[in-house]
Amino acid sequence: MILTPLTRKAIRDITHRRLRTLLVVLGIVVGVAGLTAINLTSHALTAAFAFSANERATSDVSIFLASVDPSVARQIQAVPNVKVVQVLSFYGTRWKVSVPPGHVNMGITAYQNLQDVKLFPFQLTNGRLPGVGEIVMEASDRGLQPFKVGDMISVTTRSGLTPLTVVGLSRTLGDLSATFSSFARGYMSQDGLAVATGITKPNDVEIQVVDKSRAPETARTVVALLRQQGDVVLGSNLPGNAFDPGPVNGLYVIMDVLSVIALILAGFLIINTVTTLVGEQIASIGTMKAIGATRGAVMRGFLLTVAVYAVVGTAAGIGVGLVGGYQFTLFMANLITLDIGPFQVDPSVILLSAVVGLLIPFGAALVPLWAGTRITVREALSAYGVAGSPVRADRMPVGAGWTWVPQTAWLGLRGVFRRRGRAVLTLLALTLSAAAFLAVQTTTYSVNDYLGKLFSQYGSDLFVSTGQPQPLDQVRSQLLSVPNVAVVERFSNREVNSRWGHIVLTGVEQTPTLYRRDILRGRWFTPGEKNVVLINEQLQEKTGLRIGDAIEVSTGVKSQDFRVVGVLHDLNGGLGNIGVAMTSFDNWLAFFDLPADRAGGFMVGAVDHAQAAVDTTANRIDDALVAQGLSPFVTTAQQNISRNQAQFEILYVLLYAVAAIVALIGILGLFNTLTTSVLERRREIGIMRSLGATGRRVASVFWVEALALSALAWVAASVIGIPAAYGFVSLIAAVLINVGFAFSPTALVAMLAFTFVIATLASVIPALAAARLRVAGILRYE
Amino acid sequence: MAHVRPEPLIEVEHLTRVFGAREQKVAVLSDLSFCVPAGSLFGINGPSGSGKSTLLNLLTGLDRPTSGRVVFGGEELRARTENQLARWRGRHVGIVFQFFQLIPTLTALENVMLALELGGAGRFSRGQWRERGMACLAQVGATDFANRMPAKLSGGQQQRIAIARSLVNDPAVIVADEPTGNLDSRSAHDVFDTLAGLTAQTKTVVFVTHATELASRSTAGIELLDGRIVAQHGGATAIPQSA
Repeated sequence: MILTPLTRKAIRDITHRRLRTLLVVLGIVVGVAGLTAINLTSHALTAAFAFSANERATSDVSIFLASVDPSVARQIQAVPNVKVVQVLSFYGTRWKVSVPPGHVNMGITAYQNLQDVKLFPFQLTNGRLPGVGEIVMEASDRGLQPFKVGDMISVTTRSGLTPLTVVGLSRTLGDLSATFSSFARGYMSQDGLAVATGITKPNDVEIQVVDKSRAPETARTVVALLRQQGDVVLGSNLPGNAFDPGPVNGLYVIMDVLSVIALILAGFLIINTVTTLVGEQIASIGTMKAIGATRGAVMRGFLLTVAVYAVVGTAAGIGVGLVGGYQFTLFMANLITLDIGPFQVDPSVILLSAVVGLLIPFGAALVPLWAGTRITVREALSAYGVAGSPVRADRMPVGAGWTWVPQTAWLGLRGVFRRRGRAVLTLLALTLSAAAFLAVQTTTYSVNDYLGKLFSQYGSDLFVSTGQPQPLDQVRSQLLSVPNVAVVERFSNREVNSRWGHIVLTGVEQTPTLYRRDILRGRWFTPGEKNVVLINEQLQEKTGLRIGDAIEVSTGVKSQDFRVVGVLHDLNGGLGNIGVAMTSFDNWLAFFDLPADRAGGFMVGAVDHAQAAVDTTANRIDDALVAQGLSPFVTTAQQNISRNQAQFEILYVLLYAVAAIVALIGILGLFNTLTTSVLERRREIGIMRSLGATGRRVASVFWVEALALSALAWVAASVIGIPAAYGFVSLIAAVLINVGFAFSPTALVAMLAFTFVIATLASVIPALAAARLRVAGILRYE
Repeated sequence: MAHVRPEPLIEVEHLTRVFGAREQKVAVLSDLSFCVPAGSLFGINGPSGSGKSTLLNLLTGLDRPTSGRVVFGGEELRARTENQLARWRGRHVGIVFQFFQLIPTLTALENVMLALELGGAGRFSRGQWRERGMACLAQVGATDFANRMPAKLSGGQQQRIAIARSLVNDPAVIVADEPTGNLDSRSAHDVFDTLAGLTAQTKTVVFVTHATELASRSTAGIELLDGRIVAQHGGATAIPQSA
């Protein structure tokens, strides 16, 4: 004989209640799978970032020019610390698509020699390299508008709509997926670009250096060299590490928190299940102790059951987590266009999941087992077949005399705290579930609110960038001549560096009308005031700067101090930025060494703000500027909002997945409680049925008990859920993007509905079981 | 030749058990003193509420007295911890309950072997458990349903399994609390005959009953009323008399 009777009993306790076993194991699987997937993805993506950074040659210095002779590459190569030079053309345009609003902003990169791309190379995944009249499109562009190799696409050039034949698909490491960025990318030969757009010379120089610490100095040397030979330098910057996992790390933190929540709830589920298990087997515990079992022997039997739950759940959870983690890694890698390289599973990932998956069930089970097996034989055997704990006969029950309430409802309500310890545990689990749901609801509401307010300071209908700065009067009059254009203001922003991180340095008019100033402290800049900024609240929070302090910002080739004169409300920014610094447009031009009578960016206000009218205006502006030989970017305000919303979808998916998991665990906990309640109240059920109660009336007793528990949980969750939601939103603000806390009272209503749905789902099976008990069988032992 | 009384296996001295606290104290047993002779079929008789089951629990260490003592085979029970009592019961006492108390997820044979696993099984190695279990089932005529679950057995059959379980560790004493209380008359007679027959194997059988017919079959015993002994017979005196 291999298995002892106690071992067999432990195993049959598992197989005897298959549904409960399945649900408990599922709870453990979910927690362990989440932890495994997150850790696996974290390791894999970190490795992928490193692998891709090694694979893809990135630049350390970017210099933007009006145009430059390709032969300048040889001269730049001779500059000390320069390792690799790549000269290219970049053309911004619009791709005409069939889906609203009818176009997609697009960037075309062209090379003199497509066979010899030294920096930011692309991989040709399908087709061939393009000739004249042809283009290679980034594969992810198909997410914006489906197409295949051989199809024609149309882009806006100065000749109007220019058709190009798609001859290949590309994959560019480090580029955000088009569906994520809402921005398409394509590659052409320099000759092809010249024929299509008239741009015959490169306008961008990318440089990789030997010693990255000397990159700023190298950038200044190269810019000086270019200016010396008469080239018009429009700007430069230090791109930084394109494969910086920093922003993605924020997502990991959030996912780690969600995984911990799932594991804690799984632990509660174990406590609840073991308590139920012990409660169901009080008589067996008494019998075993009567025939010689010590407390330890009884506990060992139950721990064996828990061990099976833990081992099966952990093994399955690790398996699911590895698969899920791999899929999530692929998803993220496609989103950011990374090469995963040889996929490996770090043993520490599996080890951690195994330890956590085994420890939590055991740890959670010990307390209820210790408490439950303390019962004496006499207590255990005298509780057999008797419903509930001793009734306090010396005081009136709650609601006594309220005869207008159905007695079956009182049976349900007064049953809630029959077993106080178990009721408290169930309430705790339900409260956590409801609070987690409230946190998810509030977080999505806060994010939506943030996105809605993101551009609230920006009252324009359109944003226009001309690429290169153009004579101001000329561009302004061109824009104002477009039908439906009412107001045109200068506006540009560009990322700069500071010792705290990246800042969006923004230039606006001295007295803007489209930009809505919301000054919280200090003042606006005065006419002609030089080198002053207002910073937004987020930047002030992150830096601790006060009015009057100086803030140093820098690009690749220049550093400058600005004095803080005010703090304003402005939510602009984004992943990877720490805030906004706003200055006059003249100061902005001066900082980037651009002529004062030029401008490259504008906010445009329309007469008719209807979306269709704005979309038409955007197309007209694009046509007008392209006709002047420019390569503009024209974006509507709605496109900006949509792009931001799409980028948050991944967060919504994660949050609602968590909501589903916590709902499941809440249901499981309540299900266990109600199941035990049915078992303990068999005599009551038998008496009710003998008095004429239908199955439905019997079922309603337990449904009322479930609703009462859920209502209590709702009250408790309302108290702790709001601070919890605040904490979670603050976490997202700290690690991902600066979302402000916004709370809608309707979230409480949604949470109430959530708890009632849980109550109803959890009570279905126990209530049906109660309704189907046969009277004769119940009352026979009495 | 002088009549030699059987040595007492269990000695009870001034045993009292009070339940409740403060104003709600109830003395279920009051100052009981008696002996259980070895090898006897000892009956504890009395109406419902007389304290029979409470007395049985005290004799087997399932409960602790408020005062007084129980000396079992020369050892006082009171000084032991719960775990010590459990181990002691496993080796020295076989218990048969009114409601059988079989583990519902184990077969009949497994229920019997469970007592071997939990009761120390000092005499039997693990390889002998099955054989020993079947032997005990044979003793009570229950080998035919060794592999059936309790839910598939009648009350009489379940009680036979419970008796087999009580025998498996070869205890000196079998204690049965209303062993026939939940059975039909025919099954009750069969079960009681089985229990009574154990005394022929030098077992001492202590049983509780409110049925006077069964009580009359005892070779020694006491009668309880309201927690006190109102009658006793067959050597159940408090202190053995010297010849």
